[in-house]
Amino acid sequence: MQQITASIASVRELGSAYFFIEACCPHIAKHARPGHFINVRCGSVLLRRPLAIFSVDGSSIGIFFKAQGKGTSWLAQRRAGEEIDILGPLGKGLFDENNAKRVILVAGGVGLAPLYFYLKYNFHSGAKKILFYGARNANTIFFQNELIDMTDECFFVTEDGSLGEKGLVNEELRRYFLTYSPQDGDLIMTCGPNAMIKEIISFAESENIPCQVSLESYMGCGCGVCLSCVIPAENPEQAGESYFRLCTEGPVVDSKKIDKQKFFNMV
Amino acid sequence: MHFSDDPRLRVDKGKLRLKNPVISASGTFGYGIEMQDIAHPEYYGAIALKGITVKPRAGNPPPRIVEVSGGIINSVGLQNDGIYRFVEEKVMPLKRYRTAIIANINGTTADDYFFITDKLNENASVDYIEINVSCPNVKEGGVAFGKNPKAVAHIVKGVRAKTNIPLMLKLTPQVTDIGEIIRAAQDNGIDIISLINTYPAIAIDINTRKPLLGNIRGGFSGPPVKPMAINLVWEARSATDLPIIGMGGISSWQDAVEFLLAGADAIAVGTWHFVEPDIAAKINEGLCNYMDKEQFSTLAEISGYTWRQYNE
Ligand SMILES: Cc1cc2nc3c(=O)[nH]c(=O)nc-3n(C[C@H](O)[C@H](O)[C@H](O)COP(=O)(O)OP(=O)(O)OC[C@H]3O[C@@H](n4cnc5c(N)ncnc54)[C@H](O)[C@@H]3O)c2cc1C
Ligand SMILES: Cc1cc2nc3c(=O)[nH]c(=O)nc-3n(C[C@H](O)[C@H](O)[C@H](O)COP(=O)(O)O)c2cc1C
Ligand code: FES
Repeated sequence: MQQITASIASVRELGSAYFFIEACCPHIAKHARPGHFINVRCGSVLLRRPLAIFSVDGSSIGIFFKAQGKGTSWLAQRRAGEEIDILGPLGKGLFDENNAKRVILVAGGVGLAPLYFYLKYNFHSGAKKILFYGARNANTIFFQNELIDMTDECFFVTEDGSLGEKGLVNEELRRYFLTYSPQDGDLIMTCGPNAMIKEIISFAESENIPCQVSLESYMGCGCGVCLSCVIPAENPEQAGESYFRLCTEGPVVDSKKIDKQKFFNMV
Repeated sequence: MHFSDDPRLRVDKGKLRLKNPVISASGTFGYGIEMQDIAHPEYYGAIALKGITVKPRAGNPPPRIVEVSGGIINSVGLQNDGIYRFVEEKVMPLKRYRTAIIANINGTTADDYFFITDKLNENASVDYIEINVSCPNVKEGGVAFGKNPKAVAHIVKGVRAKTNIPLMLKLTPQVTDIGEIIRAAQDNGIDIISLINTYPAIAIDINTRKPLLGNIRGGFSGPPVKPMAINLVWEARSATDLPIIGMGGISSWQDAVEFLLAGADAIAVGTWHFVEPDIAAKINEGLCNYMDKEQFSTLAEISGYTWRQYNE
């Protein structure tokens, strides 16, 4: 973990309030693994804002984000050559294909970020990679060519049908498995809005497919000291373990670790 | 030598003896070692560990934090593994560092405080015990004790009877007369006063029309509370000669100096850890430079400097 004032190498406005920024931070770039995130100081907002590491290129890392509120809008207005204060790489629970033979990735919106990194990082691994990437419309589906190159099969899903299949990404996933049944060695990795995550976890668990999910929660420190970012834990051994810290035990966790009933109620 | 070890920064007043005046406020720096890559425990004069209770506690349902008005509201609710696992698992790993260790103790009854103190006393593993009678995030005990001088007297007396470990009392800002609470504690053997804990607060999402915290209410902290905290340090200094640890909204060495001038002997940083994890080192460096520039040779000369101009 390092705190660094990183110089911004490039800022790309991707359209529809989505941005891609590359910043030079050799230590973080060297240690970053798929699932890791950074905590960025955003101008005058108080808390740092957590963002997944999207890519690593030499000594730079890339982030892919949507300008939502004050913090991310401030970030979106940065220019190449300016500096940003970054803490990272953060997180201990990471995407790990283990011995999976077929990795099914399900991304919703900016939830693509850690999964993109996974695909890039594991480009040469033996596992077959199938991506479902859902967004509102064609204008909010990004990096199409790279994604097609990095996967064995790639499905785009938009709510209005302006690109790929029309509908929701979880429905598309279900449809896929109606044709190609689950197999030994399948593994689902997912990241996106909570409503989507809820559907994907329910599906994976009903089909007995292991599921690694990158969650979000409101964070204070991002480093394990404040106990703000917690997620309800399944089968805690004692009361003190009823919630686990997402920043240090995640952000990627096995879906089995989550108390679904409580978590689904929250989201 | 690191600024944190500069001998001019030593605090030596009554039972408060630290290598430098910067303390991590309970609940904002975990168990002291999590962030050591960027915020080394030895930058601190002392580390106040996350609050503990007799039994393990789940804490409150998330979301537990929200940013509002330049500060934050938190409703963590004392999630912890309980006293039985505390010494072995939380205190011991920090012992090998050269920094004082403060156990922040909490209870829903007075007996809880006595029980925890007994356990801490058995193995004498911590340097200070901070009696937290000011947590706004628990349904029973907590801040209810801290507003009541009789309850404070009873708890301090009982804890004192169990141990010679130096005792701190962590105060809530939610009282009409802080002097009354301090005197109740002092009469019953408290050694050090620490203040302030958070202000009870609520934030509502106007779109969903629901509270933003899972627990509805939480405690407000961060830069906006600073002037009010300094006011209370000033009042505390007027009420007692005991050592005072001042906190509430500190985000720079300048803030630390301001607390010292108002009467604090040491200071604690809380919320700002989330913004600048290396804040302790920066404050110590800033204090050293300030002392050079203003020709102070000990920290004690700064402590209460402004207060004395108007009270002696
Ligand atoms: C581990 C992790 C990885 C993330 N990765 C990405 C990513 O790659 N790309 C991306 O676009 N977004 C990502 N997010 C979400 C991103 O952090 C929020 O969009 C951002 O914090 C919004 O801040 P804001 O000031 O722009 O908006 P605000 O208007 O302040 O907040 C909008 C919403 O963002 C969330 N939020 C605000 N502050 C925090 C905080 N301190 N911690 C967590 N959530 C907060 C809350 O849900 C809030 O309601 C990630 C979140 C987490 C926890
Ligand atoms: C996330 C969080 C958790 C806290 N937990 C505790 C605690 O366990 N015990 C305690 O006495 N104070 C606790 N506090 C209060 C702080 O120690 C401190 O008194 C308060 O935040 C004011 O300082 P600040 O404005 O610098 O944060 C907590 C504060 C925060 C923000
Ligand atoms: S954000 Fe502070 S413990 Fe996770």
